[in-house]
Amino acid sequence: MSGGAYFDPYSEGQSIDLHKEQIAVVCNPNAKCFGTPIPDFLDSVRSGIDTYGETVEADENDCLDLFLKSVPGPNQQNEELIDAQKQLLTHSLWLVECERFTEDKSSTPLFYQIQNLPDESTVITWVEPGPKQKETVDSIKSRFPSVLVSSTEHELETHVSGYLQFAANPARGEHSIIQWSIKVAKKIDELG
Amino acid sequence: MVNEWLAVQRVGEWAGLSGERLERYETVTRDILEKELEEVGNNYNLNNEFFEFLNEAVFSSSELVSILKEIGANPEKVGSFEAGSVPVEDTFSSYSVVDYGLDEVADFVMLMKLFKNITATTGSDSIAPLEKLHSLVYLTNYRLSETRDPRASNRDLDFGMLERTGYRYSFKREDSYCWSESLHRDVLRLCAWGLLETEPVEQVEDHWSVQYRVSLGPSAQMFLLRFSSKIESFRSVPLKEWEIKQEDVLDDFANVSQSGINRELNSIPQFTEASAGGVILNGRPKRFSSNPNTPLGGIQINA
Repeated sequence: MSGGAYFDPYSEGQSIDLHKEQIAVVCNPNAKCFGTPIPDFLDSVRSGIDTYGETVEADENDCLDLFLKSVPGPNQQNEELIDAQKQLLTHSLWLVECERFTEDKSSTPLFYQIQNLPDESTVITWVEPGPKQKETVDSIKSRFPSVLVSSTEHELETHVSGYLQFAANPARGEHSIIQWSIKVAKKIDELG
Repeated sequence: MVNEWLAVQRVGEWAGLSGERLERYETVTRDILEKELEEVGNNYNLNNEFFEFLNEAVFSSSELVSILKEIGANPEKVGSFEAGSVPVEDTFSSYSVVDYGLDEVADFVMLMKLFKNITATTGSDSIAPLEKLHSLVYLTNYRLSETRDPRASNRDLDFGMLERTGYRYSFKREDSYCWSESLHRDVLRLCAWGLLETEPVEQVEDHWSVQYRVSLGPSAQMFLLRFSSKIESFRSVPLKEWEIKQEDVLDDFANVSQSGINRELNSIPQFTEASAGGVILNGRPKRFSSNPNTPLGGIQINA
């Protein structure tokens, strides 16, 4: 079956009542966004979605380890690497801390992973206020044009809730959810 | 719909809103959007009529228009909201505009020439591992820095020709190889625009550190045609010197393995004497600016 043990895609033309979204949180375990721990922030976004639980649900998964395992390196086993890349693909919304974009060691693998996500997936990051905030936002935007970079908590909330309410919500974006799932299954198969 | 939900934000920015005024607009617009989706959303095929739906049912609503007037949005843009004629698609495409300064273009063109020449020299259109690219660029700048420049303004700085020409990238030593954060940033920028492409190497090699390969991307030919002719038209001595040094480095090292390049690095005192993370060579300190009346034939070097 397409997607193998990793993923069960929707079929073309299928009617979806409730879509369960997987959010990849590529952040250090204690990371905060604008002073709020990530799980609390996501809870607050979920509670602001009227149809949450009726048409869309979203689980978050700590994916920093998975992301690090997906990076080719001298001591990395090919099998482990492919497994990590397949698992990451099953997440259509990625919430990534900005250090992953600014640090040399992780920015290349991240670029490669993002390039390979289906167009329907969305990667969101944020930059905390500070003297270098604008410079960092511009730098990430120039290298990762498809990534949504937020400078305020409101903007970050808007990006995450916008995605869950509209793109990942079958009441609004059933077609794109189905297309995303078919592409993910195909990419998993192609990885071998 | 793929990220069409971003249209609300993009249109707000197009209307000249930012900060709290943008937040207020977004909050109101999203409420209207939610309501209208329930009420008239079914009248539209939202997969391909989402922007029409936004214009007809959301942006032109009297509630939103009065908020826009209240927060002082550009009157002409407010007119487009009222008329339901907001150019939603254009607000997305304006994000794809490439706007680089001459210094950046010079670096980009020389990087892409490096890839073009490496294909001619090695028969392979890519460079792997990633630190090999950094080494080749470093060696180009290193050789420029070792070439005496009679026009150098301050010989104490010991930049040689690198004072006036070469890449702007500064290099530091990693364990066994050299690396430039600014070069790396530019490689990713070029990848983002399709000028370069990067992918992991298929066969992981033990003595390689950053196991990715880079090659020219689908848009490179167009870029080279357009900008390298511009750069070449300067016919300046500094740029020619840059190109000659780069070609020399490729002649000497394009076919050499990373271990061989590491041996070369270990023969350079600035590299061997540096500790891990230490700077081994700063980038070109002077900037180019375009001015056809300068004696250098179009490139004015600003101190």
